Amino acid sequence: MHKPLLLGQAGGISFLKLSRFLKPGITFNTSSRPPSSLRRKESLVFYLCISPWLIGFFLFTAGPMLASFFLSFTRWDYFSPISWIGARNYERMLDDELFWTALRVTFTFAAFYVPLSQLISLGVALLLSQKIKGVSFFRGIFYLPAILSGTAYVVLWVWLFEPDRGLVNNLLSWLGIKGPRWLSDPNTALPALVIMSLWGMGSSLIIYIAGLKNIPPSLYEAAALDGANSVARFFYITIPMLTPTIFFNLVLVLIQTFQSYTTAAVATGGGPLDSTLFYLVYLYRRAFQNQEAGYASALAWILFLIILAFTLLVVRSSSAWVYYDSQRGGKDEK
Amino acid sequence: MANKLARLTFGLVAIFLCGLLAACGDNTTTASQTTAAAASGATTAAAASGATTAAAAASGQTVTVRIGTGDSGDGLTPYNQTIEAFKKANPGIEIKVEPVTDSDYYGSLLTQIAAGKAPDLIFIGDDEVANFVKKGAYEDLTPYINGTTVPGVKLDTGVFLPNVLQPGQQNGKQYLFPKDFSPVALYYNKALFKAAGVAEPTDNWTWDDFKNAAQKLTVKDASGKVSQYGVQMTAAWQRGFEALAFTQGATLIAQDGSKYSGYLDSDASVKTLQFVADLYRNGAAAPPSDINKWKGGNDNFANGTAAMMLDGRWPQANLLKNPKLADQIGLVGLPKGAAKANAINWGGFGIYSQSKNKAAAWKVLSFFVSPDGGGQFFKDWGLTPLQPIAAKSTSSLDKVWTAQADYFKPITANFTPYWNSAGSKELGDALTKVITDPKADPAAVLKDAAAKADKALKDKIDSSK
Repeated sequence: MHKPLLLGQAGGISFLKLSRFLKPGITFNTSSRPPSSLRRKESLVFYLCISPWLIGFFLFTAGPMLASFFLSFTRWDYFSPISWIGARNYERMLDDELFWTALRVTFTFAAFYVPLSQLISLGVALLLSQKIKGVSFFRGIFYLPAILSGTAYVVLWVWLFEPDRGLVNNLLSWLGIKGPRWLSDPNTALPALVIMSLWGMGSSLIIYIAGLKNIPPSLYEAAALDGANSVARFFYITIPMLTPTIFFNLVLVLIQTFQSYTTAAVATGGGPLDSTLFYLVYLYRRAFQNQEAGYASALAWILFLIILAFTLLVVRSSSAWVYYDSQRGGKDEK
Repeated sequence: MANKLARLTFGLVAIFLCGLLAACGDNTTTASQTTAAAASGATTAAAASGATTAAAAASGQTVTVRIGTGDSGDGLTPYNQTIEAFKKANPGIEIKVEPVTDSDYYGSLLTQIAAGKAPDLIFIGDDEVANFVKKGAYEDLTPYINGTTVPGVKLDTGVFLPNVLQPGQQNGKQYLFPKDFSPVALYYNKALFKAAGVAEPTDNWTWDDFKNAAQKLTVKDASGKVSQYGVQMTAAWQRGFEALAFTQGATLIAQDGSKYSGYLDSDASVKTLQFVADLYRNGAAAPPSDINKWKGGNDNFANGTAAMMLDGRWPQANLLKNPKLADQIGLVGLPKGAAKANAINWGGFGIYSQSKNKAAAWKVLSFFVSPDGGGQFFKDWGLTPLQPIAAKSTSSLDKVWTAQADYFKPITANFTPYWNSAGSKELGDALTKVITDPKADPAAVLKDAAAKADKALKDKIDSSK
């Protein structure tokens, strides 16, 4: 259930590109000469072309962000006038058991889903990069769930997990295992959602396949000539060459995982007994069921800060483990 | 792609709580301030706007009355039939139905209210009446009833069945009128009773009769696997539990809406939860197919693997279409505990307090809920709250449903505007706990639920001060 956000994707790509641009040696043109009429024309065209995006950004992203930041310091139930209450919404969170439950559930889900989804999609990508007949058919099969509508996808899995007649427990019973009651049991509901979500890893998968294709075959040939076996080639060529792709996928999946909503909202509504109370499910409940727009806005900002912190953590750590061929090439040229 | 877009939408909405809130935020302060003002001076405002619409109608202009409803699809048929009949008699008034699929209904309604652009007639369920009324979203219709506010347009309240107007009332005033309702009752499968040699239920059944029959009707195959359950219960459905608790003499909240402790965890409530737990634990009740779904998502009664079913009237139409079941279905009221009782499920229409067409809206509303108007059409889609229509029904099952109206006790949601934020969840969790954990003690579970519900209630009351 974690397909890249278009926004996140764009952000991710531009970040990668920026990091390449901003290395020493390459400078932007900062000449102080007065701009020629051609340059003026060019900037006019630039702003004209980018204006739909700019307008969209200010109207539908920056505007609502500012509004929700303001609302997070107010009380508003949609009916009565908005009233300023300072930081009370943020203080309330400390004493709000369900807020902590939602955080715990979301972190637990992320702790399992993020590594599992990356390991499995990388593994499957390796298999699907083999030169065998019909591989594109299998690529299609594995990618398919990623383009299914979120709700349809989840409803399908709710059926598969049905305890008495569902496919999952039927398969288990053939093996002589009495399957759990999955979504109806507080102990198995979250694992069921992890399994459900893993099925939708197609987006990571396709990016890994692309990443694998970008590794120059000459490296493998050279390594083979030097006597490296397939395991060595995997750890000394594939993985290092793939780190930018892993980094990119990791940032995306991390952001999406914290924003998981559809799976729990459709499959369990956060239950049973709050065992699948994803942060956003709780936020939605506060905003629209409890009619607390101010408190829900505060919750949104806390989530924003959490996601920001984790993303920065991954980005900061990247210099230690992400290898950019172009950077290396740049140094060599000097 | 659709999924990506959906996630993109959710992402945006969620991280920055939303264009929704912001868009509404801009023009809200004024709109909602007027809401509060109008709530205090409702009658004058109503009279004024009544005059406006009357003048408009006299001058030949058409007034459009918008109806907001959570009904959709086939459920709109009676609306369209009623509108057609209404238009014949009232050429100056257009009616526009604005349906929203059930799950999004309150969300979209709230944004409309926030923007001051809600429909003139708003349909809601029993669980939100107290809340919406407290927040001033509804017009007090009490002065409208006898035809003073809109001269000549009266509503005869004597045609309603007993107790069905009550869920639309707050503080002795009438804000909404019912579209339809449903009690909770006990369906049974005559063929399965006959096969097991168990006497069919009667209206005088006690809880013990019910439990004994459920056990006798539970059939296990050679391997010990249950092939037929005695009863399909209502899982974590709060109103289903409430109906049973009422028959035990329990009320779940203090009458002033101030606390759950001492009520939700009273002896009578505990006895009810113990009864429910026992039925699940001794295997007589079918385990919920999905505890997160309303009423547990079971279809055991429909597919002949449960001999009885506690439920509202909603599944009846489909059950009667099932050739194996149609002539085997029997129905009785809830078994007696300390008393005969029942809990209503209810939906109704009221007039938006900010409506600019209150007089026209009242004309439409009073037509929709009257026996000569909407009553004729809505009766085929839900249980009619209108006595003259009910009296004409030839369905023996519907006679049983209608008779339950005598036993209604006011539901918890009547006593607090915060039921959906405090109380409902805790009761649902308590039911989930005893159903999913065979070791959970009903008394302890309810005590905990009452304490948590009280905390949530206090938080809600404090934060709205």
